[in-house]
Amino acid sequence: MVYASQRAERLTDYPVRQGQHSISGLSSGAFMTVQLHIAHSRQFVGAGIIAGGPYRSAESYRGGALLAADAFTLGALAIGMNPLIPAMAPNVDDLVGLAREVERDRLIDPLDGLAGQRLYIFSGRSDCVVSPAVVGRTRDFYARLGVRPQDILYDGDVDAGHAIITDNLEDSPLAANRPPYINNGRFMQSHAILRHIYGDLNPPAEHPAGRLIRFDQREFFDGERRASMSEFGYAYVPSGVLAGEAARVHIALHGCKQGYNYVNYVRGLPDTANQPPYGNRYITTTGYNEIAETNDIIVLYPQAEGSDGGALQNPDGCWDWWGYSSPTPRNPDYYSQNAIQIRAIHRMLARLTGDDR
Amino acid sequence: MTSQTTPPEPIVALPLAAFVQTALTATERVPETAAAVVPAGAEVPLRRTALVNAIAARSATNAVATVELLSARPTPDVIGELSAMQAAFVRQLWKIDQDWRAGMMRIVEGALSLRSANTLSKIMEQELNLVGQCGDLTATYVTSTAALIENTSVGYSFWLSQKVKEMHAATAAEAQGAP
Repeated sequence: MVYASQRAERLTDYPVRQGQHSISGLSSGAFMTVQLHIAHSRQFVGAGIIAGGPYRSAESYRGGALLAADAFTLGALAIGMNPLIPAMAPNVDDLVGLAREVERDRLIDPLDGLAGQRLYIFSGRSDCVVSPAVVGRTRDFYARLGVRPQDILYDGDVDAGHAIITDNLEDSPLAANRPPYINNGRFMQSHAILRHIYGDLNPPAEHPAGRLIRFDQREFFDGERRASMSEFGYAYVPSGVLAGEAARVHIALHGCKQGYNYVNYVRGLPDTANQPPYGNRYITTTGYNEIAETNDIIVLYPQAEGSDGGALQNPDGCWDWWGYSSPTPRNPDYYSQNAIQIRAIHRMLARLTGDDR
Repeated sequence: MTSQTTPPEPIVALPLAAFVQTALTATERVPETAAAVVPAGAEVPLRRTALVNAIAARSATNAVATVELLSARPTPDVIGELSAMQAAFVRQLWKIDQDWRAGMMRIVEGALSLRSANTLSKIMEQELNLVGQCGDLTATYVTSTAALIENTSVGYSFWLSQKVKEMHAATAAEAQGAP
């Protein structure tokens, strides 16, 4: 006998306000936010990017290594994340060119759909993982694609480390650069993101009365190992939506080392005997659910999973923004509608909105 | 032991070549010790040697291209960015060194506290912990140094390629504007 509490639900559809969806993420989740936002821009009205670089920034420099996969990994590290100086950060003109190329090939939505969208972009002044110079290029990239300056809220003034910011007392100090990358800065960054995207919102609920759903993610990526995605995903459905109110959907993407089943690798081995204490913290403590509850916003939390050794090198459970999940490393597709992770998350969105019927 | 609390001033000369050679040698030697316990047939050392050679080759290419760039375009922005790069490199190296020193201090403190253990099993556990901590510290030091060298080498190549592109664009624009 299988108890109901031991089963993952099948994700189902809800009444929604079409074309009113949005997405946000931290770190690799922010890089993925940019890729997914650009790939399916017609689905969204805005995005929140915390410490993320511009579209296809890992492909800034093919000359970094003989093998393409090596060059893109090195490009992600040396140019897309932590360039020594701002002049070594990704070249926006080149990346706009790459975006236009895939638009011509119809691998992403037309880029003119970005005009009028609202963007929240954040870089902590003490971020040692993704350089503020790189995040600044994300703002420039969107501006070059037609997003108006007044629609971009760029915040680079807070002395924060690499983290999503909360007002939880037990989270790390604001300037820290360490897992679980959730720092206490006396404000809820998730609320700032959603308020910038949607305008005035109702104050957050103290106790969300909706449902946090655990669903089986595997059907969305056909169980393929190269997706590097976990067995379960999560979604918060507000009580109003459960009662029949039309919802907007917000996709919240965690960063590296933040998935629910992330296990640290010690000397190349998963440290299963000492599971880190965070697990579901990105889903339950970052403030998304509280503000979603009072504003009829469904929050979708897809989950990436780590894997070390062998062909799939993603030990930290990062979202793919440099090509590790591509079937042919020489010609990566992680940025297009065909990318296995983008396709999976888009299918989840289509299920929630009923577009997959 | 005195510990520095502020990063050193940016250096003016470019002693990177000697440092890179030393660090590359270190990245080769330390893993060689570890490789002694790797089963025969494992291809990791071969791959490592190839990557080290790739960095060395890229560094040599970078050096030649830098000379060419400086002779063709010794502009203040190029020289300023080169200086900023050196300063950033030294700052990161200093940070790695500080982390190493702090780690060594922790291990020394741990060694001094061994006497407070009162069972043989606890003493053995503490001693082996110190051995493990030394290994972890060495691994962090070597991999951080290797990562810094690798990132600097690739980032610098990218920067050079951008400068060369700008130089060609400027030359083409000048040629178009010429009577």
